[in-house]
Amino acid sequence: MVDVGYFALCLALAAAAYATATSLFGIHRRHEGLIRSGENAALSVCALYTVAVMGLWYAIFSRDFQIQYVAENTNAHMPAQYMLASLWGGQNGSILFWGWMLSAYTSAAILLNRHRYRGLMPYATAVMAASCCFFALLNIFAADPFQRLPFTPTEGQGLNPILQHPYMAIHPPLLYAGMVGMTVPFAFGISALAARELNNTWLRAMRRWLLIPWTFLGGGLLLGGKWAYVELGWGGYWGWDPVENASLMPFLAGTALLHSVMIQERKGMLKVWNMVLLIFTFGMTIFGTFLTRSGVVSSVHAFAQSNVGPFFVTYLVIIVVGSVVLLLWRLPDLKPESHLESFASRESAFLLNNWILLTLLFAVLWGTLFPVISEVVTGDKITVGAPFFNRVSVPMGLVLLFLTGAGPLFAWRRTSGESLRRNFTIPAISAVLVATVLFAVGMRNLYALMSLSLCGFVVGSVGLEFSRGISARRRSTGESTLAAFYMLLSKNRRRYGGYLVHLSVILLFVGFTGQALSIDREIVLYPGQREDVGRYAVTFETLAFGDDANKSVSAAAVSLEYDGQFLATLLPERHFYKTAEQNTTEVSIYTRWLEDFYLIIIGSNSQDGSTKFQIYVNPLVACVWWGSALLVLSSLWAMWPTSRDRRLARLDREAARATAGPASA
Amino acid sequence: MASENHLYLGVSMRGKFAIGSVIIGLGVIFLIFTGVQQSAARHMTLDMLLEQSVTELDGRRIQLGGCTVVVGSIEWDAYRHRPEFLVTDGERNLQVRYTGNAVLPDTFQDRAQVVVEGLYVAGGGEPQFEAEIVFAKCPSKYEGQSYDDHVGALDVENSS
Repeated sequence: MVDVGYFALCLALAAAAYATATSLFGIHRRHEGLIRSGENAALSVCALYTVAVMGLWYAIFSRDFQIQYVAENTNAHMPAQYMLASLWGGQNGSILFWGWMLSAYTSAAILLNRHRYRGLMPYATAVMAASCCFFALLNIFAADPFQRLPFTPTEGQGLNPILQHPYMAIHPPLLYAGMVGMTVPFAFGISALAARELNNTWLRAMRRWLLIPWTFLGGGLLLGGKWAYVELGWGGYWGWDPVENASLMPFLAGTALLHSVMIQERKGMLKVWNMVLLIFTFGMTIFGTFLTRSGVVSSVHAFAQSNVGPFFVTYLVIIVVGSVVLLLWRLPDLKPESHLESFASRESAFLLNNWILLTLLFAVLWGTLFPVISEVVTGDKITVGAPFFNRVSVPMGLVLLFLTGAGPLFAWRRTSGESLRRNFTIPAISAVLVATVLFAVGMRNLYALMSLSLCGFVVGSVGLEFSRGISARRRSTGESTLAAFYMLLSKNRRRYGGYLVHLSVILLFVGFTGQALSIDREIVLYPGQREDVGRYAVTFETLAFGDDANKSVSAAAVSLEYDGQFLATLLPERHFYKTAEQNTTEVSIYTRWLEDFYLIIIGSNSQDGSTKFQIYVNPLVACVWWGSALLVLSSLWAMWPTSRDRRLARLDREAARATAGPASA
Repeated sequence: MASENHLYLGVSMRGKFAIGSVIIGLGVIFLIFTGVQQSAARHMTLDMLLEQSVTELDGRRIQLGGCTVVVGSIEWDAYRHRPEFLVTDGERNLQVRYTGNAVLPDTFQDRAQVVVEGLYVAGGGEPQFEAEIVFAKCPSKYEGQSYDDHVGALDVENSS
C-alpha cells in the first residue's frame, strides 16, 4: 500500500506536468482536444493524490513504524482521530496533504468553470497544475513521507501531547485550505492577463474563489487562537509568533483585495493595483509557508529545520518574476476607465482601507523579518517581540475600525456635505453614547474607550444601512420588518452579507479590546484559604493526585464566587506524560457572560501543601469566539450562490457552447 | 506610489493623495521606529555572549538562542514556577534564572531547545542570565533528527 502511495505520487507529478504542458500547447495550437486532455489530466492529479494520501493513512493506521514519518509522528496508543490528524502533523505529511488539497481545489475549479469561462480556463488549468507539480516535486525530492528506515522501531514517538486536542486536529487543515485556496484566484488573474481577457469576467470568476480561502484562513487563524487559549495556559490567544504572522499576512492582503476588486467591478479603476494585490496575496501564502518551514526565523512552533527552503525560494522567485513580467507586458490593456473624482467618495474610503491594511501587513512583515534585516544591515541580529506588534497594530486597527463604519456612509463618486452630515449623525451619536456610558461606569483606559466607541460607530453605520434597506423594501413591497430584513439579506447577499462580516469584525474588536482590561494575578494558597480577586473570590479546597500508565495527574479543587455568590468548583490540572516526559497544563475556565475566569495550577509545595495559582480575568473574550463564528457564517452567507447567479452561470455556459459548437463540429 | 497614481487619479487629485500617503507613511514609520526601540533585543549565540564582558552588555536586552537545556539542570522553586537551569551550546554552559511571571510553556524540559530573552548580569560572582522570557521548542525527538542520527550511525558502522 505504501509503495502504491509513492507510485501514485510520482504519477501525480507526471500527470500535473502533462496537464501544464498540454494546456499551454493546446492554447498555442488552438486545439480544443489538447485543452480537454490537459483538463482531464489535471483532474486525474486529484485522484492520484488521493491514492497517495490513502497510502500514507494506511501506513499510519497499520502502525508501519518502518516508515520514518509514521515512526516520528504516531505511536501505538494514539486515539484514532489523532492518527487521522498525524497525516498533517509533521513536515513531510503536511506537504503531501497540501498537494492533495491543491489538487482538489484544481479539480473543483475546473469542473465548475470549464464550460463557463472557455477563454480563461486553459491558462488557469496550466497555472494550477504547475503548482501541483511543485508540491509533488517537493514531496518526492525533499520531503518524502514514504521514506523507509533501515530498521523497524518497535514503537513510534507519537504526536506531541499538547497537539492532541480536537482544535489542533481541525486548525491546520482549515489554515491549509485557506493558504492553498489562494492558488485559484491567482490562477484566474494570470489567465486573464495571459488570455488578455481583462474585462470584468475574470473578476466575476475569481471573486468567490477568493472569498472561500479567505474564510478558511480567518476561521483557521481564530481556531488556532482558541486552541492556544484553552491549551497552552498563558491566558491569551495571539502571541505575534512568526508562524501566526505568516498566516495573518495573506489574510490581510486578501482582505484588501476583497475590497478593492469592488472598485474595479464598479468603476473600472485600480486594474493594475488589483493584479499586484492578487499576486502579492498568493505570494504571501507561499512566503508564509516558506517562513514556517525553512527555519529562517526562529519560532515557538515552527517545523524542524529542513531542506525545503531552497525549493520554496525558487518557486517564489518564479511566481513573482513570471507574474510581474506578464503584468508589465499587459500594462497597456489595464488602463483605467474612470478616475477618482472626490475625496469624499466610497472609492477613496476603499483606497484608504487598502493602504492601511497593507501598511499593517508591512509592519507585521517588518517585525517578523527584523532579525534577518537587522543582521544584514548591522551585523547584529535584533528581534522584536509582542510589544512592537501591539504598538504598531493597535493604532492602525483603530483607523481600520473607523473606516469599516465610515466606508458605507460615503456614496460612490462623490458625497455632498449635506448627505455626509445626514449619514454620519446616527453613527456619531452611537459612538458618543458608548463612550459616555463607558466613562460613566468608570472605564479610563484610553485605547479601550476609543476602540469600543468606534465599535459603537460601526454598529450605528451598519444599523443605518440595514434600516434604510428595510424601510425601502417595506415601502415598495409592504412586507413586515422581519420579512424585509430576511429578504434584504437573501436578495443582496454580497452587500448585506458583507455588512454581517463587518459586524463580526466589531465583535472581534470588542474581544480584542478586552485584552487591554484583563487582570493577571499570581497567588499562593494553603488548603482552605480564601482570597479575593477583584469581585471574584477563590477558596482552595483540596489537592489530589492520580496516576495511570500514560500519565500522572495533580488536580486542585478551587471554589469560585462572584459578589459572594457561589459559581462553580474549578478543577485545574497538571499532567505529566510518561513516555513523552512532558508536562501539560489543563486550564480551568469559568465563563460568566462574556468574561472568562481562567485558572491555572502552577505547582504545590510538598513541604507545607501550599499551592501557587495563576489567575487571568479576561473580560469580553467570548466576543472573539462569537465573532469568529459569525465571521465564518456571514461570509458563507455572502458567497452562497443566489438564483440570479445560477441563471447567469447557465447563460454563460450556453454562450460558451454556442461559440465552441461550430469549432468542434 | 507617485508613479502609479496617474492610473486611477485625475490630475488635480494627485497632489492631495501624495500628501495623504506621506502622512500615513510618516505615521507608520514613527510607530515602527518607536516600537522597535521598545522591544528590540539583540540576538546572540552563547559563544558570542561569553566573549563579551558583563559590563559591556550592561542594560542591553539580549535574546540568547541556539541553546538546549542541560539534562538534570532544571531546579524549580517550591511551586515549580520559576526555575534556574543551565543552557549549553554543546561546549559551554551558562546559568539562567527565570524572572518572568508567565507559566513556562509545557515544552520547557530537559534537552528542549530554548531561546531566552533578558539581561546578562554579574550574579554573585559568576555571570548569569536573567531571563524574562523563555521560549522552548519541543526537543527534536518529535521531528526528524533522532532517526536521522540513528541512520547516520548505522551508515558509519556499515562502511567501517
